[in-house]
Amino acid sequence: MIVSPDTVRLSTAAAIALGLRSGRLYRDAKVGCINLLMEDEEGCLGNCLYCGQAREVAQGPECRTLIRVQWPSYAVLEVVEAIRIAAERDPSIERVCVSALTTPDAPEHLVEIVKTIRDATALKVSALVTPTVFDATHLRKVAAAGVENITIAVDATTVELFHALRGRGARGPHEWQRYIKGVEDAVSAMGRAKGSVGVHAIIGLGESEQEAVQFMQLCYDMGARVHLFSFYPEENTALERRSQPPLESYRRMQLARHLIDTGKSWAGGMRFESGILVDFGVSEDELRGVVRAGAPFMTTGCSGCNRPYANETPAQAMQGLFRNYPFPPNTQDIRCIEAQLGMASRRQV
Amino acid sequence: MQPGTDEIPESLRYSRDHVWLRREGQTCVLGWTEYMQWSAGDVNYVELVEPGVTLEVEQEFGSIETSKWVGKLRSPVAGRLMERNGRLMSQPELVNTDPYGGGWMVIITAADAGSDALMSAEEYRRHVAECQTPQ
Repeated sequence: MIVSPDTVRLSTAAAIALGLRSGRLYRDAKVGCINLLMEDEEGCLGNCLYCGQAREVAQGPECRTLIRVQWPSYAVLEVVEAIRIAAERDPSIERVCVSALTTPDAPEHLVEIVKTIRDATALKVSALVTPTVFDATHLRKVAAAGVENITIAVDATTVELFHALRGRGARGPHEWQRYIKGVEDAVSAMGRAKGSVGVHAIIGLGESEQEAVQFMQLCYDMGARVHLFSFYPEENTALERRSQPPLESYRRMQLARHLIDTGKSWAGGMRFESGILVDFGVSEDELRGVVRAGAPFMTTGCSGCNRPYANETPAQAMQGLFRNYPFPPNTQDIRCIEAQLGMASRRQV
Repeated sequence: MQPGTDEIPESLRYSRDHVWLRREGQTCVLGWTEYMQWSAGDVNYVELVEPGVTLEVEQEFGSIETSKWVGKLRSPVAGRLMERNGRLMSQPELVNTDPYGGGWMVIITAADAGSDALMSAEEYRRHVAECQTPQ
């Protein structure tokens, strides 16, 4: 029977890291987090226009692709045993993340899977949940099950885009206000101090840079951290023909997110012209130092999460067109990033 | 037997980066070995250079991509690329499912008479074993 909590899907990278599937990763990227995706006989009730799991795309339990790759299905106990063994031999594996679909049973089944993982391994565990089916009580139960982080994929960074891509405009069940309240409830369940709540934001869904940064600030003001994704057109979805956001724009969003996350700047201190970020609110020297450190351009997420080649193909990466670096950028990478930001030629952003 | 090593045909020659070569006179057929296709994972995309190009040893004759990896294909012989396997454009999975048959990649007319530095099947078997030894 194809249904969690008995079975679960694994990202391709996770399946490779666990030795359940053969394969290698470009530039020998390590997998820091084993990403699990719950599954259900009815499939996801969501119908998000950019998602391979959307109700009208997946048409039931069949998982075509998600975040560019296939997610093969395995028995949960087989996966947990593989995680236990892999974690002993590979110190780069730090965490397991369990992602829920939008299904009525998801809260109960997610807690069961989290407990199974916690009983078998010492790895940190995260839960990626949807407030459409996880209410405040559910979130407290998830926290009590022992997760270190709860993350909510708001994805679309304005209410209008959310409605059009995930809500009624997309024949989907999700509501902006419910998601924002879900972030607040998650912060309440996990506590504000530890930065244990994350929010996924996808750049390139039609928002302006100013709107994206304002959304980031909203999340930080609520006590959550933002994890950035660069839109990648998923085959067979309504947005499969949409282009990725311009790389220089994504780089600016990574920088803005990093500056807010580290307390070096804030949305109100940044300046925008026609929606484009033109001043980060820090000195040029400080900005250059931040860029050269490379950290803003690495994958953002819970500690250990690096999602190798989730937002770009390996061929794009080989051309220096990484979106999120799954490892610290090297000197050559930094040169690429500086050029993409226009820093190499103009000596300023 | 290690995964991906159960088929190393005795009749072929092998490069250190896991390209096999079948030679008849100066005509050389090249492809990826069973070990390499297993090691790389499911192939999504194969790009091969146009016929007519003259290649030096180690010169790139294409690239290959899986969902998480990409690499260049390098020729173990010098010569003129005469033909490429057009089926791989639409059926890249042939590299995985039939590496020594339908998954062949290019045909090269070698510039020399056959003095190459490629490995025999036995030597390649040892090379694969070394590749699988944890660093």
